[in-house]
Amino acid sequence: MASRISVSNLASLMAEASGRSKKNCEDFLKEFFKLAGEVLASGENLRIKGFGNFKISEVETRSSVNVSTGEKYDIEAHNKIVFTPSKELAALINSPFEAFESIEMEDEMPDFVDEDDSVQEVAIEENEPGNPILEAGSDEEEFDDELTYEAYADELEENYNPSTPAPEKQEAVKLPDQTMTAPKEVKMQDMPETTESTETIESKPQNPVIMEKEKTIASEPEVVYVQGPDRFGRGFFSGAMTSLAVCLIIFMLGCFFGWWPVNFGNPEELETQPEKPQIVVIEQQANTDIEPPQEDIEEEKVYDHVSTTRYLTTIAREHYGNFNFWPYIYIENQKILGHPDRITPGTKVVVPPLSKYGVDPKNKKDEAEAKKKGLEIYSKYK
Amino acid sequence: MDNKTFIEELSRRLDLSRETVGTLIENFSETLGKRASEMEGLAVPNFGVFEPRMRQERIALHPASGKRLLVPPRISLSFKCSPALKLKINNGK
Repeated sequence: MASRISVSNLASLMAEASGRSKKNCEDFLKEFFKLAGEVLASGENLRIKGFGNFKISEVETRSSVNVSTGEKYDIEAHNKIVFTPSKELAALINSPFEAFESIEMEDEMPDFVDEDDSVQEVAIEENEPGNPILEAGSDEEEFDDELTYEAYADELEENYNPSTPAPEKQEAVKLPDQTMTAPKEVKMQDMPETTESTETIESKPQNPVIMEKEKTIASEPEVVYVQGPDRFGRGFFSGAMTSLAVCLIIFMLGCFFGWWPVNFGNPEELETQPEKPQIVVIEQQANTDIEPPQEDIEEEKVYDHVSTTRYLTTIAREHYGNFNFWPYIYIENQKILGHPDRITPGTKVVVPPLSKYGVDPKNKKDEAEAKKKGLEIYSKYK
Repeated sequence: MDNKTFIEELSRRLDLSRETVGTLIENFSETLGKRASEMEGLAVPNFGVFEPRMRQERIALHPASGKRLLVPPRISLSFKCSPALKLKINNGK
């Protein structure tokens, strides 16, 4: 490709430029390279000011494949010379392109405009076993009139305290799919009103149990959860709370749209709920009426979108600084992901903090572990 | 071997002053640089080949900020040592 000139050609060029005789220059060049060769042959590195560095570096034994026969063989460990031109020489060589500079490009990063909404959304859904994470940003038409709805919600509250008729509740539990595809927006607006039950849980200093997840968020105030009878366990408890919240939402929606004929003023219905075991806990705390902000019970989630140019590895590199840690993103989103190489573009994934898995992107051991995990994931799909 | 020792040794062998050797080296790298920027390499028998390589422009990720950068094309000088020298640095192996 590129043509080469010989030492004597270069010598005559040098002679022209410097005004010395060609013979001088040629002798000099010959001696120059002879000495340089001798120095390198003795195993020493060579530094020449204004020209560059010659460095002898070792190459480890590595295996290779014979191209024609396909046989494997080892390339033995050997030394090689690495030449790095000096700054001046490199600049001179690059002079045709020196006017160019690296340009920062506009990145089509996914925008996080709807972060607030989605934070709530996932916090709700994360406790629900087996529920697919939903795509945000539809169903707006159902509740344009927020104010009306809130007023209505208040009204509901007045009519009956945090309780729902039990039969409605069960019916709602049976329809998780519909709920999830049904208006999410509504759910968001709804939460403050409908989850008074959740709110009441939060403040009882005598018997505090701190959710482990919350510990990951250092900046936020500690949230105190209260557990009643311990036999339900934490997972069950939170699951029950979420399903209760969802039931309430569905029920209120139902009422609002007139799906179910409900008599709001009927006191008998109100009394049915306290007998349910899950609610007992709540009822015990109902006298403490402090309302902490709802964000407190939810974890801050980081999101990203998979696209045709952004894979899990890309996301891992951006968030963790090391692409090898993608398996953790995969594991976090296992429910919605299939083959790691066949993720539908646009899929929204939760990026978990690595501290959740107790790994450090700078730790070599953890990196090896992450690689192993990646292989395990792939091996599932073979 | 560092620059000073190299120049001293070279000046002793050529019977030239160190300053002259210094200017000669400067002249040499200047000439080589100019030829290389025109994509012309230099072949030195029993030593190796200096060859300019054209690097195409590419999009790279800034490691710290995560921003994408359009890195312009550039010419860099590569060196490939000759088989004879290679044998020498590997002690004849």
